[in-house]
Amino acid sequence: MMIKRMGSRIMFAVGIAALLFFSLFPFMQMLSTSLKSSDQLFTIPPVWIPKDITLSNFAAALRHQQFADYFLNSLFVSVVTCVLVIIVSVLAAYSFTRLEFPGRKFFLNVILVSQMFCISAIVIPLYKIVSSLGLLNSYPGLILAYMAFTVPVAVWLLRSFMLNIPIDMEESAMMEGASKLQAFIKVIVPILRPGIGATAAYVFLITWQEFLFSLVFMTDPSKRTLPIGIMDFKGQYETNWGTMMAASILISIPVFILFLVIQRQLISGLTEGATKG
Amino acid sequence: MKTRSTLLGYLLIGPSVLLLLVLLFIPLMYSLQISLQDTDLSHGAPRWIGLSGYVDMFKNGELLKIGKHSIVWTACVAFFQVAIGLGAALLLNRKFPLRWLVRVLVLLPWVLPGVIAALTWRLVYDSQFGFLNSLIAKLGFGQHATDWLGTPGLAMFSVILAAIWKGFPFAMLMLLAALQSVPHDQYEASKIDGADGLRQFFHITLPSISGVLKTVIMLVSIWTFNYFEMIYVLTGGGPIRSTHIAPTYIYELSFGHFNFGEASRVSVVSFIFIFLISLILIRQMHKNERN
Repeated sequence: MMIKRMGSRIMFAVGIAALLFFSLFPFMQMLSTSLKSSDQLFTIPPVWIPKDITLSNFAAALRHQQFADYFLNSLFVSVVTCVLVIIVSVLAAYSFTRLEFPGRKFFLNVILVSQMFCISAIVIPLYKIVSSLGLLNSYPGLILAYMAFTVPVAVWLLRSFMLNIPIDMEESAMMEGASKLQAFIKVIVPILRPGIGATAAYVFLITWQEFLFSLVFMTDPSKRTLPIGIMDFKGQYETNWGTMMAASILISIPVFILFLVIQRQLISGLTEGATKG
Repeated sequence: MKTRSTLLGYLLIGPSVLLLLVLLFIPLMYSLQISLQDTDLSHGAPRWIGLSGYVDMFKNGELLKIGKHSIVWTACVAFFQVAIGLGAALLLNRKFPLRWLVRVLVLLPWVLPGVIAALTWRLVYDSQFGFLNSLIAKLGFGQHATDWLGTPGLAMFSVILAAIWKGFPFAMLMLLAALQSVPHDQYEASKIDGADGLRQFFHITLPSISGVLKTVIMLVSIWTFNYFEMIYVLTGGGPIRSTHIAPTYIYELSFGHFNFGEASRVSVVSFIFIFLISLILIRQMHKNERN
């Protein structure tokens, strides 16, 4: 019995170690490369832990001319998308969970099915539509495209958060003379705030790293977002891996922090959306 | 009690439905229209050719090749993401010191922006400076200079491995949440009946998480099918077109060759494919719910 227990403990520890190693292995390369000076970068075989640690790659990434522009472009597009998506989706989620009207099920299914859309199937027509409207290289064009594929997810998440708020709470507010709208603003919105936060953060994470649409719609270098901008470091003849990895780390840190903050909320929203289909 | 209010109901869902109609469904119809035209620039101005473009496309072997790659890619990535995700979720469902830290660290690949993940893997796979060859050497298998992304037979394996790494934490996250909602007394009861770990897994754990599991499988499959930047950055579809999947092929046709007609035909075919697969999966899900 004792031996069996010890055996299972060791197996468990090995499992956790393997899992951690698999998850972190590429990060080791990322970190190590970003901390190496340029003459250490290309030693063969590669050194895992650099002898002299230097922050010069980080400084170079921050000094890179367009880096700040890309950052601001990405921030602008993501924040505007988030705000618009949340407004549109909160309304829809309220309607789907609190009101009864003909075709409710049908429209709900339409929205849920939109999540399964093949993104590459609409990139061409959207590109043509956006370009005929003269919106190529403009933020509204990109933001519209981002809304198309984040609204379904946002409605899904917000709906599952709202299903958890008992209807009695609004009803008792309405008994006391509040209108439906007042009850919604005074009762639901405050309880829903963490859910809205998680949804907004999720939308932010998706748009912050979106690649295909940004690549296709934003051909003007000054309008690029970060995910495309980072390819700058992949020069024409030689990739500057040290600076590129340093820039990558800088871009990823805000995302990691944001994710840690909303983790718990997001998971409960996603799994409940999955079970209460 | 839900309030019956037709006008308000439509008013509130209006913006979302309108948005999806204009940005998803109308473009899809437009795609269908472009797909019936010959837009090859070398043939002059675009002209209407009806379904013959589709016939030619199916006769030409390229689509079948791309389709095969897409299926191998989607099936392998989705299967291993869910399998590893489930294994990881089972491990992390046990209590142990510093569990929260392990959980956060394991989630990092999923949170990492997609392009950055792809760029990092490109470096990991580098035949000279990459850590993968160096790891193999350190494990005692001798010096290797394997060109993971440049060898036709190996490149598909390499991009699949990188994609599994990127996405498995999502499956883990969802399944872990599902595992935590499995009632504990069921395990206690089965222990008294003398069921061992494996029996418990198949009789209690798996049935209770099957709903979430199916949703995860569906989402992960669709996302993988559409996953563009991993292959675009790692191999660009090469070497000798051995890793081209539908999205990279569509991109190459439309924005490399400006042949929007052919690209739309590929889009329409992949849309129908995805749609049928999701339909089957959704029906499966509903069937099991009724039982």
